[in-house]
Amino acid sequence: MITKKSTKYYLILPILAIFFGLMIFPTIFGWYLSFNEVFLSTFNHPIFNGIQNYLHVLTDRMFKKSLIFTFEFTLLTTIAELIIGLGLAILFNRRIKGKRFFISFLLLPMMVAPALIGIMYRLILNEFIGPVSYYLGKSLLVSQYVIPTVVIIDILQWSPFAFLILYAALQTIPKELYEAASIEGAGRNQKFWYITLPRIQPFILMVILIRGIDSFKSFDMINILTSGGPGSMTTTVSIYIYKLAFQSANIGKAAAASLLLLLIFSLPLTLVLRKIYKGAS
Amino acid sequence: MIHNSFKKTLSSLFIYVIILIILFVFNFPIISAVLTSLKTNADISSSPPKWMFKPILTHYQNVLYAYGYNFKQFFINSIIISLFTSLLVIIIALPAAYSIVRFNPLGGNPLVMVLSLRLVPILVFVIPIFILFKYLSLLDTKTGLILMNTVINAPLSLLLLVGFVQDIPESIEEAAMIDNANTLAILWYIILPLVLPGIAAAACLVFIFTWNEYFMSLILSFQNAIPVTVGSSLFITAWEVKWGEIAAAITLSIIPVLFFVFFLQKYLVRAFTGGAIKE
Repeated sequence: MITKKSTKYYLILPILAIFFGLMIFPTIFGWYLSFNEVFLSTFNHPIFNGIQNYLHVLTDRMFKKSLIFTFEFTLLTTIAELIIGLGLAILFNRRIKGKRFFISFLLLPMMVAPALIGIMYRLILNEFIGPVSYYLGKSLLVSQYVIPTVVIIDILQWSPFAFLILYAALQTIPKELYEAASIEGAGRNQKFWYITLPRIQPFILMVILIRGIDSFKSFDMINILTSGGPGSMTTTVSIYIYKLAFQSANIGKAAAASLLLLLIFSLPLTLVLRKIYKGAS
Repeated sequence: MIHNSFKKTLSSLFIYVIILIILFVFNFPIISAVLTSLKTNADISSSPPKWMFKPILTHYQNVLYAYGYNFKQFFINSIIISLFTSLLVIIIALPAAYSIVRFNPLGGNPLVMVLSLRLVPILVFVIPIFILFKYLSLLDTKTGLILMNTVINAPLSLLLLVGFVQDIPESIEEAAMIDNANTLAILWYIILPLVLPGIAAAACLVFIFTWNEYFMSLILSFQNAIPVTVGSSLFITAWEVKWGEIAAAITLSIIPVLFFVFFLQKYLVRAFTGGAIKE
């Protein structure tokens, strides 16, 4: 029993060391960088410049533009994925022969790297040899259509995620509730609005939060498909910061922008945490 | 009666048709990767698109054996990085999970800590990491990518394993404690065999997530440590776009994932929600 006291600390030490060394310390270092003039070539000699980086980012028209696009993208994809996922969950919530097999294929898109999906859509949407361009008779990557296109691609990859959560949620509703409602003479719509929806409401919130946050961080697929273009039409905040750091080589400014992103995130973050604390107690 | 059962068959047939259409649309990029990888260059660029054609394996041969393609290197890098990340994550997360379940040394709800880590954008710490790795000569090394993938995936595995350890009755360990076994021995001889399914699930998920990782690899690798996700995209920026080879590379990169999806279905909800929802 004497060993117990010290053991309980050293068993958890390795994971804490990794978190501290590769996540928390770098974030603190990032704060330091954000108050300095640092370029990729001069990273050895940072020069203190106060809140200059923050001012530059906040007055940068590109930053504002990328924020607006990211909000737009997040809103559209999250809502659509929620609705489609719910529809799929209801569709699959019945006796179907070979259901497990179908579900595996439904979940496949979200298990494939978004980067690879992005590459494939470059072929599918290719102006000259892409099948979609051929059947529609136009390229979908021109400025007129590019935003709906990336939104739809994201929806096609991540609706299965909403399905996965909501399908699991539907399984938690006891069948007796529906039977009782049937006896009382409730129709299909009434059952949906008064039984299904209230019961799965916490899961719906979960989908909105997780998909909303992940969607806001979008980078892989869009960067490969459009590299944020044409112009800067599909530049998400992540792509903006990435380009700032590794194309403009302005590390200090990029660090400042990434910390502003963290600030934006702190609102949904606290919402989630409060929700979970409530659920835990 | 007959009329009724006919109606039933018809409506269930209708559902199958709908499901097949949905699966086709959602999986279209994967289907077209497989098809394109088997077409000749002439068939790939034919207009209208060809759906029936004589399949060839030339692109696979090129990708794997022809001179000038580094795909094999990317593939091997991905395997090494994903395997060692899975291993390292389990090595640090299993003792931590056991410690949290039995002693909770940090207090509070570990779930909250873990979820909040998941929500922090990688960008926030990956830019400083780039500078730090430059100092430490870890840029463009597999070690560097293994370390970073470990940080990203550790919270999730920790949560999964906490769930599994919680299901083990404490009485099993108490018997061992009477025999004066130390904690590490208990962990190795009693806990480890009992949570093996959990370890397998966590390791497979970490493998897939690491295999699919693109953003950090794009920043932290540029020659020696490039994984398949970044490597496949490099085929495009060359002056000649070889769609057949790209499609073959993508098909090969999807195979490990396909292999795991069927096995992992049970754990996917927990994995993607950071354990916040238990099935």
